[in-house]
Amino acid sequence: MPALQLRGVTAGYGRITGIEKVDLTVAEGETVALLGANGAGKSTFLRAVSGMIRPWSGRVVLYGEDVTGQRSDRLVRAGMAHVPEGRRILATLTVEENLRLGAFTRRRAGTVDEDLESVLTRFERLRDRRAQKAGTLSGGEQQMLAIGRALMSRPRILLLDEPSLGLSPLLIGEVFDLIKSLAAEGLTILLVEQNARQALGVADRGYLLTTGSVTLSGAAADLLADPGIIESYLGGRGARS
Amino acid sequence: MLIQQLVNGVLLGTTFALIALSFNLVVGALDRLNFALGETAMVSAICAALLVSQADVPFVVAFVLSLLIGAVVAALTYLLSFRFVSPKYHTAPILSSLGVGLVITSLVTRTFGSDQRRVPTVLEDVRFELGPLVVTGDQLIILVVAALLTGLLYVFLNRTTWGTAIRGVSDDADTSGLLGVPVQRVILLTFVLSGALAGASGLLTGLSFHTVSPFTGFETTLTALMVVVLGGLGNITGGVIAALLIGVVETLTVAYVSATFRDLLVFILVAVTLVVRPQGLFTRQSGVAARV
Repeated sequence: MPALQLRGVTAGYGRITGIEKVDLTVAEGETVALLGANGAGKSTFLRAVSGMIRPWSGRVVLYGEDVTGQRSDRLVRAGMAHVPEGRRILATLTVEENLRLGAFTRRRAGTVDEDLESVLTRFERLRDRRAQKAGTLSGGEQQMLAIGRALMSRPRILLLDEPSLGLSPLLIGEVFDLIKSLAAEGLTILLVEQNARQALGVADRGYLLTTGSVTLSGAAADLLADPGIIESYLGGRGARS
Repeated sequence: MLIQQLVNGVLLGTTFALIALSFNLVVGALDRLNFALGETAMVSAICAALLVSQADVPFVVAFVLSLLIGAVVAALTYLLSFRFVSPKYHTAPILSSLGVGLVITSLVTRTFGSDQRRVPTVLEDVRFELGPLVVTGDQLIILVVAALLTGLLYVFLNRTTWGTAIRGVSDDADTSGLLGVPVQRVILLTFVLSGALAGASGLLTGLSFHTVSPFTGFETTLTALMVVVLGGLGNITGGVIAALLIGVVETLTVAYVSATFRDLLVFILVAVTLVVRPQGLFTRQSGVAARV
């Protein structure tokens, strides 16, 4: 049973179609990269998957359960966590409150303190700042907080939307190292990125989204090895964003 | 007796602070004003006053009921005027909640008549005299209960999971939803809390004047709006300070100028503030400011 499966999903805003008939599968334990330029429909794709907009047609299946159009909080309960583009940390709340809110669906599980401890162990820089307002964190720290906050729900599958956006090359390296280690721990990851080279470097498979449709998919190594693809679709060295 | 008037003004201000807090909670959760909160306060106060004066229900019981009635009315207002209105229409909830307010007023006058209702003194024998300054037992109740409710709300918002969720939704509802917070339920909870505060404010205001009228609902909404605008929309602390300020200004105007100028002076104060500082005396905390 795949972790996440999209079958012919079409979605958009108003009368503008964002994605059309997208088919995509993420197997349990796999890291999949969804690549595409600005405006290719990556954000619409993620909003349709995570319940922020209702797809016009098609199915979204999460661990065998049809979750098409389900509200975000139900999806979190079903095991999906979403790290939104631009971090979207809750600036007026403290770092610890942001993390604890990530465990909202597990508030009665009695393991929240334990999970908080393990996230703070992973991100030691957040530990020093746990009582600070999250808005005062640097960009890199905010990205760590956004990922740590998603981990607080003990997800089975993690959706990452442009985690490298707006970060320095050094921090981008850190974020991709983190993704690699999360994948090594067995977490299923769907990574949506413009930064094709880096994304394919950590992914098992990749999908290429062009003007709302999947135009290419395959093993990450194959996509990386094809110079034509990198040149024509993914912008030269791939680090451009 | 300036000092006595100042004390009376501050006491009046504490009841304004509760209703302003009530408005600001909803502004935080939804960026909308609930224009039926004044009537929510009124219906709670009328019911409580009837129970105390006609059915000899103890004040404490009536007070708890006023909280519950306020909470239920606010929850209904949410379902009727906010829940199913598309966020595209910014003015629709203003009109629909104003409508709910009108319905509440006419339901109350049809059911209980349009008479003013008496709120009897609770602590008859208690009276504090500090030199020329007199504080009655009822004034003390108003002060203590208002402070207690504000304190409880503060603790709830800052120390509990659901309270944190309310602040999260107030900061960014979409992101809170992605984290697994059931946004609609949190907004409903916010309305319930704001309604309970409005109910308490209604009864305490009734206690301070020893009377409640079924026609003061919209007046309460207006006063609360003045407070909320003066203190900075959505700013909880600003609202409390502005409430005390307006309470003092109103009381001093009645004592030294004329009761007919009471609201006029407050409106002038707010108008001048808006010209000089359009964001109110205090601004809303960062992060949310961009969305207002």
